[in-house]
Amino acid sequence: MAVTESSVTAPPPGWGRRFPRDEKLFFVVIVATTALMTAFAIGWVLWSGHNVPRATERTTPAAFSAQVQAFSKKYADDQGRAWVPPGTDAYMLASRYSWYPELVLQAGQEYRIWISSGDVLHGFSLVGGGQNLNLEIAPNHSFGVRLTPDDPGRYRIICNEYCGLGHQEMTSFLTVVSPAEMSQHVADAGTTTGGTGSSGSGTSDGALKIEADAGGALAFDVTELTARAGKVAITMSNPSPLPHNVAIKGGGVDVKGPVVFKDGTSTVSADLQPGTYTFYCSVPGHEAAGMKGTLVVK
Amino acid sequence: MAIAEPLPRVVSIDRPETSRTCTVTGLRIYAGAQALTLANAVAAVLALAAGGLFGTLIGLSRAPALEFLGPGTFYAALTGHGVAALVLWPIFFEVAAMVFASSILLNARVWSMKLGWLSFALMTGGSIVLLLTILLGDASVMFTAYPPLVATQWFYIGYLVFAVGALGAIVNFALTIVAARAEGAQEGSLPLITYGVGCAAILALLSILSGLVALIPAWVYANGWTGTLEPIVYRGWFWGLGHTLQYVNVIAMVVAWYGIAAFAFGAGPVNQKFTRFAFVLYLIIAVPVLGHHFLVDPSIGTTTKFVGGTAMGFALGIPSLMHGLAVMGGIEAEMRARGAVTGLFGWLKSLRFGHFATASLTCSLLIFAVGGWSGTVETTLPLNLVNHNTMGVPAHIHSVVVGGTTLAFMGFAYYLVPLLSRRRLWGGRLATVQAYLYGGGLLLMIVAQTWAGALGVPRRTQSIDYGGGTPGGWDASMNLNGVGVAFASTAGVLFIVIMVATLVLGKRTDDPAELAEPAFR
Repeated sequence: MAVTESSVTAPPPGWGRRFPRDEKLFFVVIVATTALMTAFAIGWVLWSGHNVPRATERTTPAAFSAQVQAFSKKYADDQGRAWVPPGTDAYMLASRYSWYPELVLQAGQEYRIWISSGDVLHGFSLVGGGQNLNLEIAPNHSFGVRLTPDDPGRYRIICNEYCGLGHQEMTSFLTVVSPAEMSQHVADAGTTTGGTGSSGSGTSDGALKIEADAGGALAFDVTELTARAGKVAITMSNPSPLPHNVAIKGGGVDVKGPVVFKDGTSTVSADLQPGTYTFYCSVPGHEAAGMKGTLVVK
Repeated sequence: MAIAEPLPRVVSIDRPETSRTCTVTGLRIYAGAQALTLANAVAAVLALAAGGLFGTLIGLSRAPALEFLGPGTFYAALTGHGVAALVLWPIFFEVAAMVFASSILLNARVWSMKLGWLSFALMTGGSIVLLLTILLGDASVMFTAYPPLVATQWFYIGYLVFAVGALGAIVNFALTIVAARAEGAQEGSLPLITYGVGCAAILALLSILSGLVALIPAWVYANGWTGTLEPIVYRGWFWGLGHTLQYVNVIAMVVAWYGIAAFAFGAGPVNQKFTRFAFVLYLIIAVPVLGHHFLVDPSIGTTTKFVGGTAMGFALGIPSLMHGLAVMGGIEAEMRARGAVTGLFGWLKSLRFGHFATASLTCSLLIFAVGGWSGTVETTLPLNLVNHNTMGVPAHIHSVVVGGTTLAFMGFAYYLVPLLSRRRLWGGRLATVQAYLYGGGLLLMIVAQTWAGALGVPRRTQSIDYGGGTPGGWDASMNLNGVGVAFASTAGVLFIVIMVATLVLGKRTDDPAELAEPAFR
């Protein structure tokens, strides 16, 4: 083997040079700036009112859904919005592709809102009214967000963690009302009867029976129903972990059954003249995704 | 022009393998090393083309004025963009740099050409499988593939095969250096570029191992062989891969800065200890910093989030600032040594801003600094509440990975490819136009995305229509982003054209003046 180009190996240039003063000074400046920034950030975490929620709990989609169902059953109005009285914890479930239920809060009141997912990762993002609050929502974990809404209004919520092909449809609202409106609603709710639906086991004879898709798809198992004119009842059983109900609309009719979770049943009934009506699920986003059908009354 | 100083002239030993002596650098270039470097560089550019094509489509479609992709196509293209631009392009280019820095730069042979080509085949095969599953719409899970979202099992297999190939390249890199020194081909301190690439290789090893721990269970889960996979745990291992990999890209970018400075200005760092210490700082701090992906996640303690995310994130600014000073200071020192002594900034007049090297280096330094700033802001724990998953995150990503790393790689490629292929860079001043157009387009994108993020516009979302009534500024900011995308994409296409044309049409030459034109007066 021939050895070519024998030359003394010199260390790369710059080894022997004295550490220049400006490099030393620059290093000191950036380390000092970093220390200052870190101190500021620690101070902010410890003493500001604007922090990542510390309250989290381990849970499961089924367990959390049960909490959401109990909560919404107690506080939901006939449009499915949950009016949260002061001092009550609120619950919200993220699942493809909706936020449930829509919450109504009282201005000036501090609330804790528990949020979790029924299926995949979602991103809670409050974007309306100049707000910008973002949290990662995971199944098996719930986040307890403490917030105090200042002004009445309707604030948009979106999902900002990619969750599937319907991700861009996943939107809802947080409504904030004045204390007067909240007390008025609480008073009214105490005097009205329940909705025109019923839940639980036992269906009336002759009720049309449908089922929500067990796998979590936003669909019923049938898209066409027929009935005779008169009192028509539809009973929906829900084997999926998502919230669903059954509702009827058309020809001046607009009735909704209660929203139920896994293994729940929702019934809606109405007196119908001959004609064509739509039965659908009124949970936000579900009808638009295809959870509906035609009811022909003869 | 002969390369000034930074490359040591070392003892080399004749081997039966064919080699040539580079007329510009004086380095002994073995045929195998040259071919392997070029192959990985070409694969990198093709991956960049794919990533850029996907990026152009989604960037233009996200302008509400244009919005032309439906959800299925958009999310598939977005997944393709993440995989090709953020994983395939940088890693192929870094493997090219690893081959170059361990063999050519040390006047040595590659330790095992068989391992080199096997790694290349695995990386290429894995890339093709990945892209096919994405194009077929069976893997619209984003490059992060967070469970419980699942893709076809071939998506994970593609990722894993690619990762194993990259591991092989890292092993080859390490053993090539060991063999070069054992045979006496290289003695004493490693050249700075090799040292830097070595730090990148160590981080790459750690990130790939973390990726295997994340992706193998995900592949098992995707096949339905287990019932559950805890998403927060997956996110931990995935970001052990993912953010550590970003620091591989940062180190490689810094290496490219020094490489461009050496070729273009004959400049090196003023003090080697300062620079090498800065590289080691990356190694020490880069792994725990994955915490910033958890800042607004449930079930993780505030102290963990603060130390791993915020404190480590701030600390990582230190080595980047050190390198910024060292690169610019080194160029200044060289210009002053060559006579540009007027005042504080007179040396800037010696730089030819019409040269592609000055263009790409300047834009890369500037835009990376912007990205470093936005990253520092976003990693601050309470501030992440207003930033997480908004367009502020892509604003940061495109600043550092595209403005920083990709532009630096482009500038370096404008030297590397002609020198290795011995063909003059095609297009003359077109390369300069390309660099400034890319930088300008990116800056516009970054401004628009930062604006959108501050307003709460979400990332990774096909449409921000939401049935109407979205906050003011949402549409305007994303339309502005579309304009930036149009400029940057044009420049991206220009880069691909210049590279391909150089390899196919470039004038064959050995003249240093044509292969490595200096960028100063």
